[in-house]
Amino acid sequence: MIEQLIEGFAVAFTFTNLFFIVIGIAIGILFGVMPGVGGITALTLLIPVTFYMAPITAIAFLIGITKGSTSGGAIPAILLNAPGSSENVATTRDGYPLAQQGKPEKAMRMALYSSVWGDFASDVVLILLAAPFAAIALKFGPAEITAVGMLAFTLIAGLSSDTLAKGLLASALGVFLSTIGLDKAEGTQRMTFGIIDLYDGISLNALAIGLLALSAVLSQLFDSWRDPIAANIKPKPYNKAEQKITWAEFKACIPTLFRSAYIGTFVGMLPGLGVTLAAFLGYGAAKRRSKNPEEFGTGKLEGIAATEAANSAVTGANLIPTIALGIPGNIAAALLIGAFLIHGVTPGPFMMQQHGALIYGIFASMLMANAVHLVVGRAGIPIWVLSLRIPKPIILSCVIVLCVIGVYVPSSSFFEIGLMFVFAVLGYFMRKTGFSLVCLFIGFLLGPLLEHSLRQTMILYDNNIFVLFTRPVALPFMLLTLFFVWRFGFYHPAQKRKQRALEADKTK
Amino acid sequence: MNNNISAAGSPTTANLYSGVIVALLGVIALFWLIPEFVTGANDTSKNLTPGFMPRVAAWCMILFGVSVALAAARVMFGKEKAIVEESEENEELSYGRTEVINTLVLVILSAIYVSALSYLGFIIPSTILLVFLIYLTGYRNKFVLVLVAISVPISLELLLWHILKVPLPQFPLINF
Repeated sequence: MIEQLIEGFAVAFTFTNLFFIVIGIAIGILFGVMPGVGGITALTLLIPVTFYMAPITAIAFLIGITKGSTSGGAIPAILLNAPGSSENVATTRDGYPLAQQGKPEKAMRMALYSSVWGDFASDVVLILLAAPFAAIALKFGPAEITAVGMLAFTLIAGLSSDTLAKGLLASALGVFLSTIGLDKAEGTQRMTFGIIDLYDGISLNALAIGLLALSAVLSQLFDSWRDPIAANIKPKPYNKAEQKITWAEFKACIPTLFRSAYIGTFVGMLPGLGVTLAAFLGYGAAKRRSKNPEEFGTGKLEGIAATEAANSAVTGANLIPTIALGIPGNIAAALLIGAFLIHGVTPGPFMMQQHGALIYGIFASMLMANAVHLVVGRAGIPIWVLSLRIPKPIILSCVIVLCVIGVYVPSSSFFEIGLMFVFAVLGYFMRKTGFSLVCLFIGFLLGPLLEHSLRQTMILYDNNIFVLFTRPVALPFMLLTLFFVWRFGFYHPAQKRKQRALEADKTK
Repeated sequence: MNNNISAAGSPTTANLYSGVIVALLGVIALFWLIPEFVTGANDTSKNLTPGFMPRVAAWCMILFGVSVALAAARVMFGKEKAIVEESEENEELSYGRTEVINTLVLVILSAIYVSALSYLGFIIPSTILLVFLIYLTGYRNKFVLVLVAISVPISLELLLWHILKVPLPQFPLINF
């Protein structure tokens, strides 16, 4: 493994690669800084740009964006009490009070160091575990892959949605949309209605940008339209003195950093659990273990460290199921799968075998990106703060134009721009009604894989679908699927917890 | 968050309508779209036709659509307590009058913009769109507004043309 990693560094350590990692991280932080825009928007918008890059540079650039956006989101959380995305919500609890005490840069530095540490720790786990996991997954046949796919859908639907049925409904819609286009097995047309743009299926770009980026930006724009004052809150100027983190302060945070990195990595390895959950689990664990839990929420550095290390640790670990099984852990990993596919690499167990050099090159790029993240993030703090002064309406409106370009550039098709707006409308509706965008997107992305393996299973075993319960490796996955259907569908922990909370509120 | 769980625009009402709509879409797909628009879907000589997976997905849409609608109906008729849903995107969950108006505005604006792109090229509709959106969302510095609205589309067009060699839609009169 060490040898392969060294070879990976040899492939990855080029000027072009480093340059795009720096650019990726800077863009990630900038997009993360803008509340309501976020890293997912940056990722969806910039995937088309990577068409023109070598695969390793493209993936390194996109990973740079993912890493940068996580720490970038902490900046508005600290300065404005307005987290860049939901994963930084817990950062506001101690970050904003610390900023109010005149130490915003101290809080931002701690957030950056913790974020880089969380990233690094989970990257190491990814490098150690990806190959053994992929080796196990190589033994899987179509029945096992179908069973794993069904488990992934159930887990993601159960954990991303408040009700399992809503999550599965979104997934089913995603799978249905993925069947539009030419049938890969027989080459016949499926629901293309004679539209040439649909022969290759619904464009991943149009769907991703419309559903994830454009709908988010439009939702923010509508909020700004209704409440223009809220869109123009700006950070207060602060005194540059007293912003340094002392060794004693950092040392006190070390156990928290390790604990949160472990929590975030574990959460990241399981599909669907999400970055926000990791952040809150990290924060909760730090508070429980603290000798002075009452100080949390008053501007404690440990609170920031706990949240940022945990949410950043999800990034690397999320790639373990992505690389080993081709199943994304969250939406960022799903988008990376899209990028891999664009560059002719099919994520899954064969990836390590067929593109080993590329994968280790990506691992090396991830480690390099952590060092770059530290330097760029630290040096750029004044710029990130300054970028918060750009009025939100200007940023959001410009992002809409970027969305149009993001779809038009690779396709040169007005149809795809129209399709992007259709998915933006769908995305807006889903956002406002609590339907999971993650489920729909992952359904769309995994639909072809599931179809392929399900069809192979049916052909191999004479249309006997019950083979999923008789094959020894598929059986545990199916039993787990049934368990999670019961758990999320009939004994929903979130439902029970919320009902208890609601009843408690009423009795007060 | 919309606390009145069965009021118009609440997640429960939205669940009821969206469950019914998706289930109906599944029915339409199963009985019209797939038989009519999937080549070879009705080929009885094969076990697995190209219509296999679309049919599986359509049945799932019906099954889960009905489940979501039934659960919402049970809440509305007081047979079950509502789950206080939270948005994974940190949004306020409500699809009432305001959101319907927003959706209509979005549909109309996007239809106009996409049509304008094909007739007027990239720069003119994008400039107008930027002026409209920035002004509408409360920004009133006219100089900056006009500067951004003009410079962003022009610089994007120049950047794409000179670096990526990708032409954006052009104003047709330029060719005369």
